[in-house]
Amino acid sequence: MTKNLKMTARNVSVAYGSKLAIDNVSIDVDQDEVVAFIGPSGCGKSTFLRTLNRMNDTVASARVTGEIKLDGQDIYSPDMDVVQLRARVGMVFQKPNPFPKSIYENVAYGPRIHGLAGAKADLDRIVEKSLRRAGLWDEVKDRLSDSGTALSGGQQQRLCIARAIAVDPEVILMDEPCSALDPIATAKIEELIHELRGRYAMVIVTHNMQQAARVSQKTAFFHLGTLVEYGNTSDIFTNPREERTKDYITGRYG
Amino acid sequence: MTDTLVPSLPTSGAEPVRRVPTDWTTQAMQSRIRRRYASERRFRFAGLAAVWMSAAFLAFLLVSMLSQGASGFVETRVALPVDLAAAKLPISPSRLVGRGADLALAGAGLEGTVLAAASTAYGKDGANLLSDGAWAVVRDAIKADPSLLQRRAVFEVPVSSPIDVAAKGVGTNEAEAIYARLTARGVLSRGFNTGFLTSADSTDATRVGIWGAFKGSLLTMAVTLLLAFPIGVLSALYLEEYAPKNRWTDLIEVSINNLAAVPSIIFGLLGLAVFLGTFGMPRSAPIVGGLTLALMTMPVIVIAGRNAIKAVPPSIRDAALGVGASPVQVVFHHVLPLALPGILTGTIIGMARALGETAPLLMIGMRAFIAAPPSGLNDPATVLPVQIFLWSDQVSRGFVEKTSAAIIVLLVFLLAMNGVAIYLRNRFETRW
Amino acid sequence: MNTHTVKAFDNDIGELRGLISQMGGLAEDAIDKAMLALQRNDIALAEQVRAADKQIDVIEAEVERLAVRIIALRAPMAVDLREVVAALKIAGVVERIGDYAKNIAKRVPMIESEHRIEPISILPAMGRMASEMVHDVLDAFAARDAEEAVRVVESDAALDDFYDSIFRTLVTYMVENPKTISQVAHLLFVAKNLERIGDHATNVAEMVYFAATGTQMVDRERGIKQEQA
Repeated sequence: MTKNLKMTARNVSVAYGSKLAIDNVSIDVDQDEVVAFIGPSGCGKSTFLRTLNRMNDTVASARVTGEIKLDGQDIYSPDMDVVQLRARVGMVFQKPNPFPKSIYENVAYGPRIHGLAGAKADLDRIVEKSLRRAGLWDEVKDRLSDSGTALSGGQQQRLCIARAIAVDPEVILMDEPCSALDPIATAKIEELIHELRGRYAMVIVTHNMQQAARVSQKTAFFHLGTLVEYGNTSDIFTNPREERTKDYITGRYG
Repeated sequence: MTDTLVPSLPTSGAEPVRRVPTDWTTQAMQSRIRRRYASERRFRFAGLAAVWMSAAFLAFLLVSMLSQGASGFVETRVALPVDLAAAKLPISPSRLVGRGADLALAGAGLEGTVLAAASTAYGKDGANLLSDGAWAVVRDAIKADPSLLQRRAVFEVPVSSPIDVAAKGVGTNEAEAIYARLTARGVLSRGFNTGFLTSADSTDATRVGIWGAFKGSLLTMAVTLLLAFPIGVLSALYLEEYAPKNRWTDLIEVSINNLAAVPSIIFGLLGLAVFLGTFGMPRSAPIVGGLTLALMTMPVIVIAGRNAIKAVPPSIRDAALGVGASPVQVVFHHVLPLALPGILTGTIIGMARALGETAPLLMIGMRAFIAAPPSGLNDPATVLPVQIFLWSDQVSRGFVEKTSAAIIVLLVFLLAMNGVAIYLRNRFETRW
Repeated sequence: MNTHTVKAFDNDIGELRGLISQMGGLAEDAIDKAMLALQRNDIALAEQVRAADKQIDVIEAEVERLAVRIIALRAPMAVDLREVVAALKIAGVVERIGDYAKNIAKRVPMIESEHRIEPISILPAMGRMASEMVHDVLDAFAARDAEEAVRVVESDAALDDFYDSIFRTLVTYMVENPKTISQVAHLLFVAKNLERIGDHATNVAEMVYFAATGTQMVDRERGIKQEQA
């Protein structure tokens, strides 16, 4: 487990007001691995995901305790800049949410605000590279100035992945990235996740257990705000240790 | 195949649930359906009737204003021969250039000369035929062509208000008689009343102009927009994007909503007490009018702005935060551009309301008789709706058409403003 | 164990199990009847066993179809997935067991009836043992009982011992009665078939164990068996 740790969470609890959403969760995310979070709705997996790049900061009542480290640095410490953190830990959301701007602008936005590209040529290169990595370049290279919202759902989601990649993050968090997509578009995203593995550590929340089984190396099963089981995906899906995991995975939950 | 050994496979597990089919053809069912369709038709008819009613009201307003007001842009003129050479005005041509010309001509007794000429041409009460401004037409002609002083010439000068009224409709018996006489002599003519668009208020209906009030409105609106728009939008942004949700922000929200509903005359009293009383700002000035109307418009812009900002999907904020944008960047790169069309719509509504507002401006003295267009924010001025109000109060019949004409100008102003705003809104919406 | 949220899934799994135990019952029956036919030299009964084997083949095909359908439509996970895969494999193995029973039945007419060969009297005991193993292991599958599966694996050692002793007895008999060699050789094959049935039952037990626990049967059990072999 300790070969190439990217992020570690220790005893993390999240409370919204007096309601405990996440209870004492500890997880390691390896540099070369895709980690999938599964669990029934409202089990806190998305909440936990959002603590990993402090997206919960926007919710005033959310309180995070415990320790989350990125490369050994506590991301909730006062000297961690949250804007930089979110550039280092990118995020892709459930609903494809491209900016209502051109495809080019969507991808160029991140590098621009972080000053990652000096000249226009640099920016062009970053945009092309990101779109290529997201497997979208060939489909959009002739219409970079078209609106990002004019693309199909799957293309939009890959555009969002390209946008996240453009700032060269170390970790990419994906919150049910395929829940709004058709199976073909889903397959493309899954293939993309395979291709990106190793370059970025990835954490994906999904309701689709087959998808978790397909894309991830490690799987964490959340239930009622607690981490029930965390282990190799092949073990979780063929031989889970916990009764609750087994019931959920085999469709006996509830 | 040995069928006894292998049980037949159920297709989907459980048996499908049997149900009693609903009978859609019964009498009761049919009549219910008919009733539903009938109520549908009734509702559509009611809606359509409402649309037609409102369209009819609007058409009535426009038609009556246009029919009454159109003649306000036209003046009746009478041909007046004046022998300036014989009058021998004591004036040297060198004084006819530059700023002193008006004064020089007035001082030389031009007005008396013109009135005398009228008596000569049309009998002893000839002077009453002419508008108070008739001599000014002669004066302007002389300024344009000083050689007129050396000869006899015929000028087309505006007639007095009663005769103008008689020419355009039904005047007093006396005026109608004079009108008939003049028509018989063939000296009357009609022309576009340029003075109406270029001059300010006057006591004589034939000399009044809308430009003073128009300019006053323009200046007042400029002050209102410059104050209310940025302050309103920034307040809306702060309240939506930054302010914590607590008792204080709730209180502020309620107050703003209430402010938007406060009668406008209260704002006038406030302006009177604060701007004139406390700060000692000049009476009747566009700056004070603008400030007062800004107070009134701001809540509208704040409310519209907040709604527009609220309507920006949270996913866009998430997306921007997710690539590491700071809150200010999120607001100015994404939220504000997306909310702008909505904010602009609210601003148009607020500004249109401010433009048509009379009551608060009466309170701060913008109802004064102002005979010259304002040249700055501190000059006494009036605004279009107040001007309309003042004219509609006049006894002289000549003012009736001028009131309608002023209303037409106000409506055109409003339309132009809305047109610009709609253009701006569409531009922002289609920028992506 | 809880039931599935999708009830039809439970029905499918239940049906799969029903087919397997039906198959197992037929295979068990085939062994018993084949041994009975051998004992009584009942050619008609032997013929009946050979005919019944076709039914086992039909059910095996049915199990395959159902298992593939469950995998395609229900996407079984964890214990369900293991069970479906085990059922698929068990069907194949039980079919093999059926083949061995048929093979025994096929040898019945070849063993002459006039003079009874003495060792034939110990074969039914071995047959009962083998058929009991088949019975037990299929019970274990139905009950998802890993312990029972382990017991079946352990009992295979006894069957192997039985086979060894029969082998020695028959070889001795052949040496003493060279005239009967061709008949006794058939009996040798019958004994071998019963021993193979035991091995297959052991295989099934291992599958049952994996289906029930998710782990391979530890080598401890195998160790016992190999030591005694």
